[in-house]
Amino acid sequence: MPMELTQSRIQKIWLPNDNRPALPRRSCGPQLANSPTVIVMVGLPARGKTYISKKLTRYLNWIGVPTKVFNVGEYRREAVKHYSSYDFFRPDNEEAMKVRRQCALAALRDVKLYLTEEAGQIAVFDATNTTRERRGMILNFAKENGFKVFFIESVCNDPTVVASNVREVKLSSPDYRDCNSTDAMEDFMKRINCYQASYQPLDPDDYDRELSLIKVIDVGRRFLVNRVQDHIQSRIVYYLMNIHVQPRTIYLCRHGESEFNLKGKIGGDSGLSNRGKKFARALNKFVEEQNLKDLKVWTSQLKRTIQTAEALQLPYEQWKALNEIDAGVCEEMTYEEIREQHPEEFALRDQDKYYYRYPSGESYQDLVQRLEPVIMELERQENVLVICHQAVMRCLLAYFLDKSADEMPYLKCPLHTVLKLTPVAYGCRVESISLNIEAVNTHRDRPENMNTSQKLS
Amino acid sequence: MGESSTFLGRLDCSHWAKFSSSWASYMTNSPTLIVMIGLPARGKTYVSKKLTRYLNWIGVPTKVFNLGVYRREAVKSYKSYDFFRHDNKEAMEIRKRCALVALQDVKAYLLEECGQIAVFDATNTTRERRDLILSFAKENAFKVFFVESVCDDPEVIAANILEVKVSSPDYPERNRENVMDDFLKRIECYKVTYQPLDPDAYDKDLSFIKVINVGQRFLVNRVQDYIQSKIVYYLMNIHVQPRTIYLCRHGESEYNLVGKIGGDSGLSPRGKQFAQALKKFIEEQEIVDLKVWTSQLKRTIQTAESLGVMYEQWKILNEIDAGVCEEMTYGEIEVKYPDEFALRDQEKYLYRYPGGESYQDLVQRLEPVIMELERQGNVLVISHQAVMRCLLAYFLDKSADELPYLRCPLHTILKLTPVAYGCKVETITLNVEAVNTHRDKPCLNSNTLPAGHSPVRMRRNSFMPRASADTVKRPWHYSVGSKPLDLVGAFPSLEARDGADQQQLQVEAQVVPSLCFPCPPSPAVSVVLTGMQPVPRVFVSV
Repeated sequence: MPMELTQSRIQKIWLPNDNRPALPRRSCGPQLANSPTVIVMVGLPARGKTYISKKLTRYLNWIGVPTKVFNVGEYRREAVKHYSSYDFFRPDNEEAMKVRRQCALAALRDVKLYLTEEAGQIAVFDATNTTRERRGMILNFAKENGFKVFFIESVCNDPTVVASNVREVKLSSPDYRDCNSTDAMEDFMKRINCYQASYQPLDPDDYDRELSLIKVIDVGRRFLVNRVQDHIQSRIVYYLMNIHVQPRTIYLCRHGESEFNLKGKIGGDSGLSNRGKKFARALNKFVEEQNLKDLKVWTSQLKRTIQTAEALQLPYEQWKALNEIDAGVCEEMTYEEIREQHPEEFALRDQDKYYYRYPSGESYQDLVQRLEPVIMELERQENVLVICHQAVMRCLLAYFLDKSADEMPYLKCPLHTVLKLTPVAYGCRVESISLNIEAVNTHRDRPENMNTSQKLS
Repeated sequence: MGESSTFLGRLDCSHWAKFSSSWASYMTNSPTLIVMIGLPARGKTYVSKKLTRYLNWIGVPTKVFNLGVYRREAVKSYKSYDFFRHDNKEAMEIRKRCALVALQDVKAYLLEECGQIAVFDATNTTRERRDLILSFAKENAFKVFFVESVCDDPEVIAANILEVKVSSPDYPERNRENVMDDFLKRIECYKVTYQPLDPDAYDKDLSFIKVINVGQRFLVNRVQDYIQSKIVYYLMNIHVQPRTIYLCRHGESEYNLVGKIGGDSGLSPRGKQFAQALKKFIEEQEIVDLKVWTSQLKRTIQTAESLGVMYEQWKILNEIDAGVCEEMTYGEIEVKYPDEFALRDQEKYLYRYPGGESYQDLVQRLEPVIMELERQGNVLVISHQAVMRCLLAYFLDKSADELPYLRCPLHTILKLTPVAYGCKVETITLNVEAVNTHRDKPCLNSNTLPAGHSPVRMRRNSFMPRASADTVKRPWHYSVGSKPLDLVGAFPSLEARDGADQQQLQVEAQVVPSLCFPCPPSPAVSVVLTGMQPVPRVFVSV
């Protein structure tokens, strides 16, 4: 019978009864990409290519698009065990050129594997790719395999920026482990020079007018965008235009302990308990001590986060998108009550906590979609304190710390603890600051011994 | 820290004064002046109107100020392209004064009428003119963002001229060839003095986007804030390829039959009939590459299943969440939650069901759908009553006030086609009976308001759409300090005609005369175009 539908047990997706294959677990929304895409970085050394590659990859994975970086430098370090000096990169060093080309080809082979056999959707090819010849080779490779190509070129001629990049990430590279800073800096500058002579920037007016590309100029001051082909490229461009490299700090914490927390009830919209109020006051003191200029404070639209923010005596923004995960029919129940009244649902959730959607409620996967504008705005901002909820904080933290969907629902985000995130090198440093006010523990670990025999079909 | 009676925090003036704008402060602080740049027939007015419609829908009060309209008021009858010759000193004077008057209106809109963004739609092709605007903005602490449209493809330009210029008030005779000829000469007049934005030197410190060849390429310089970033993203996603968007609801559901709202019921027998009729309709339309989108509720999916084509499920297309009122009938709600019931009728757009959502929340939720609809070609969206109202309000430029009362009956398809500066709507009823789920706006007097309830407070950080033409008709007046133009006749109100050349359209297909409440003034010509109907503005103060 047409129109006979069954709802999938975990994700609560209505599917037709006939034996069509189940929908793949992509993020709810449009087909983000049909053909796999190769993102090709272009630029002289120390222009932020690896920084962008890693950050973009982290974002794409978080929104549910399987993405991986292929850094040719790593392949080179495998092939040539010991880096001696910039001579390796001299354009007249034929033997080295051969090795470097081999490395690029090896990386491309892995790209192909990832995109065709490992369910990858986007591969980021992180190398200088500064010559038309190299880019031509990549375009052929992509064409042979039916991959789309999107170029990201980073152009920057500000010597302060370049020097700062070199200090931040190059001096600590494995290439320079036996070197002191001054020598390393000098060698790296010579290395950059080796590329300069043969550098052919993307030319969207003429030679490269048919290519899909974005040129990022001077760390985001200006962008040139050519021939965006599809939704995911458009999202990538939007993301690149919103990120910045100014130093800043992001603070994540939950509301103070709530009345419902005390009773073990989930969801709802209760107020702070006495200890929760104590936390709010302690948070106020903590924020003052941090002595930040221009701190933005964000809360959800649930009472408990707003009460917490009220103690700070600072203006704050309420975001409905920061509300706790909607537990649907299980709202305002304790886990015990859920286990008694909805035993099957209880078991299903433990089986696949990221994809599991509460009946008439949400899943972590839904939360990620809901939180994406928050992440985008966090990228635009500088110092921000986000007062939210357990599941929401796990999602945000997973973005900053590059945690997988598998790990996300089990990240530890205890009450009365502030996580302080500072961008550093290619990632994020996290400090956990407990404000020393007792609270109940709302964390449930991943149950042991979840094996296939226990999985309900 | 005492517990406030409402968890919206202390409602004293100083607290709320920090959030006096009706949207999140992160969106924008200073008002922004968007300045269009480009030769004639480069799509400036098209972009101005479309962008304005989008910004109003997401809740940022925006208005277009089209210089051509001011010029047509000042110079009653357009003779020929000679008016635009750069050596025509008298005309240059008039044109400059029109610009100054327009800028005064911009200032009034942004400072006195709570506008947030003004779009200054003119050629603005010389540095001199742009410097004048920059000074004006600086004096008034407005941010400036330039949108330049550059196009050298003669086919595109010719198509633009035919689409919107031939029917312009400047060319009442509408003889195509004459119009084309005169207009091309008009363009030549501007070319002589055109100084494009120069990001490498002269204009390197300005914030702008250069749109090249109808979106093939973009150059973006110094985006300052959130709203400029959204504008850039929007401009990069829109396109001008012809296509059709079909909006409809799921077939009649079991809950519809018993008058229950929300829930996740399946189709009734008549609903299934509709699904079959929809399939036939789609086949007859012979649409190329039709995408079909549904929500994740059973009733839309069942409807799509009948079509026998691939479809995408979007959770964000789910019906408005009625919270504690889910799965109740309106009668039951009135009995069990009489205060809530009354509040909703009082302020249907802002009203949020306890534990549920408001229309305002829906708009925020649907924004990615709109963005993706802009990217796509032919799409059929099978959704729900409240959701469809929100989407329709975007395409037809309806205000927050009208939105919750738009008519979106069951078993009816709305076919939207972009045309000129707006959207043509055809209503197609598939002649399968269904219950009527529409509730008109009730007549309210103070007796029906629950005692002790203040008007529903607007939640911060949510969107509130306004229609682009959604302003009170202001009597025209000259601003202090600028000489009245020495012309024949007074300026009538400019509010009714927002923007330049309006195209009059006769719609062949059956059109339901009232797609909105109240009815448009001229039921004989059932044309629904954006920006055509001035609606009294309801300003909800925070």
